[in-house]
Amino acid sequence: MRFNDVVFAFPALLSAVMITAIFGPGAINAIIAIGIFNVPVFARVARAGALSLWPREYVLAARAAGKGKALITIEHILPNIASILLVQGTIQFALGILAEAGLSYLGLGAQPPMPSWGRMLFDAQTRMMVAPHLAIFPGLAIVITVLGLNLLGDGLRDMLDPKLRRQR
Amino acid sequence: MTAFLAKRIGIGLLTLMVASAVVFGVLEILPGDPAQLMLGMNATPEALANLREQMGLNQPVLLRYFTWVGGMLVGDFGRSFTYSSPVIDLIAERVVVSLPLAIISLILSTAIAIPVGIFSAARRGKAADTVSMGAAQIGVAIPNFWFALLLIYVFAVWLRLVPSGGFPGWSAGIWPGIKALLLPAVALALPQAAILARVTRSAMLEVLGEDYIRTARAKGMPRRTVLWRHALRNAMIPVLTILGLQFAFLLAGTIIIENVFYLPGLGRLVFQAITQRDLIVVEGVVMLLVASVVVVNIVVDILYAVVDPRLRIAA
Repeated sequence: MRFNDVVFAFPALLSAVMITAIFGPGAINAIIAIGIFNVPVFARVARAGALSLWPREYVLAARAAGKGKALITIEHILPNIASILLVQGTIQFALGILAEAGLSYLGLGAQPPMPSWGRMLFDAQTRMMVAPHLAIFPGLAIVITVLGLNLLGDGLRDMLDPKLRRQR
Repeated sequence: MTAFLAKRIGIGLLTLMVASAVVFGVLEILPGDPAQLMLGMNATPEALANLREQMGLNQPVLLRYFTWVGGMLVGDFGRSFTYSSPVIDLIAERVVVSLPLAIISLILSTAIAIPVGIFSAARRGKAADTVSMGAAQIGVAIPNFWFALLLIYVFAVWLRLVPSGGFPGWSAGIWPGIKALLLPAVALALPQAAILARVTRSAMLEVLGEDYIRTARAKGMPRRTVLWRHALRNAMIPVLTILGLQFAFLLAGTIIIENVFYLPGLGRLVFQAITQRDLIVVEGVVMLLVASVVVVNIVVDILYAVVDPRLRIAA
C-alpha cells in the first residue's frame, strides 16, 4: 500500500502530462502514462471495499475455520468486492479514453498525421464562430464510444454477479 | 484515535519525502540542459558556463537536492528562470484561481450527485431512477473540455452572459471573478457529478440489501429515517473514497480546462513550465499538489473513522 500511496499522491493527469512531456509526446507514451495512473485507483478502491468487509462475521467464521489471510482474501473478500471493482473498471475504461482525448487536446497524445478526436477538438476551437459542427461531431463520437463501453460493462456485471441482477 | 492520526501524518510525511526524491530524480534525468535551453543554440560557451554557475548546476546532485528540500521547508521554492521571479510568488498568484475553481466545482458536483444517488437507490427500477441514471451514463461519457467548448458556444458566444475565457483578477471585484470561474466550474463538475451519483447509488443499493435495514424497517422506523440515518452513513465509505480521488483530480485536472478558458491557474503554470523546461517551477508546483493530495488523503482516512466506528477500533 505504501508504494501505491506515493504513486497515488501524484495527481493523475499531471503525471500523464509529465510522462509524455519527458519521454516525448506520442501514442505509445500516452498509453503508458494512462496505464500507470490507473494502478493506484484500483488499489485504493479495492482497499476501501476490503476494509469494510474484514469486520464481517463470515470473515471471522473463515478465520475460526483456520483459513489464513491470503486464502480469506481470495475466497471471501475478492468475490465480494468484485462488483465494486467491475463498476470502477467500466468507469476507468471511460476515463482512459477521455484522458487520451485530453492529452491529444494538449498536443501530447497521438501526433499528426495519426488522427485523434482530442486533436480534432483542439483544431476546431479556433473556428467555433464559423464552423461549430467541427467541434460538435468529434465530441459526439467520444461520447457515443464511451457510453457504449460503459453499457457493455454494465451488461457484463449483470451477467457475472447474480446478486446484483436480482436487486434490479 | 491520536495514535491513528499520528500514524497517518507520519505516513504522509514519508510520502512527501519519497515524492520529493522522485520528482527531483525524474526531472534530473530529463533530456536537455536547462541553461542551454534558456540561451538557445547560439549561446557562447562562456555565457553558458556563467549561467550554469548562476543556476547552481555545477554543484553535486545531492547538495542541490538538499538545498531545494531545505528551502521548501522554510517557504523558499527557488526562483523561476523564465518568469525571473520567486516560484512561491508565482504559486500564490495562481492558487487564488485554481483553489476557488476546484472548491466551486466540488460543491456543485456533491450538491447534485449525492441527493440524486440516494434518490435513485430509493426508487430503484422506477422511472425517476431510470432517467437520472441514464443522464449519469451520458454525463460520465462527456469529455469535460468538449462540454466546456459547448458551454462557451452557448453561454459566451450566443447569449453573451459570461466571458468566454480569461480571468479579470479578484481586484476587479468578487462577482466578475466568480463569473469568469462559473463556466469552467460547471464543465469540471458535470462528469464528476455523474460518476459520484453512480457510486452513491450503487453503494446505497448494497447497504439497502442488508439485514439491519430490514430490521430497522420492521421495527417501524419511517423509510426516510432509515434511508438518511442508517443507509447513508453505511454507504459513505465508497462515496468518500471517490470524493477524495475527485478532489485530487480537480486540483491538477484543471490543466485542460484552464487551457480551454485561458485561466491563469496552477495547471496552466505547470503545463507551460514543463514545455519551457522551467524545472524549478515544475518541481515546486508538483510538490505543492502532492502535499495537498496527502492532506486530502489523511482527511478522508479520518472521515472513514468518523462515519464508521468499527474502523476506529480496527485502527
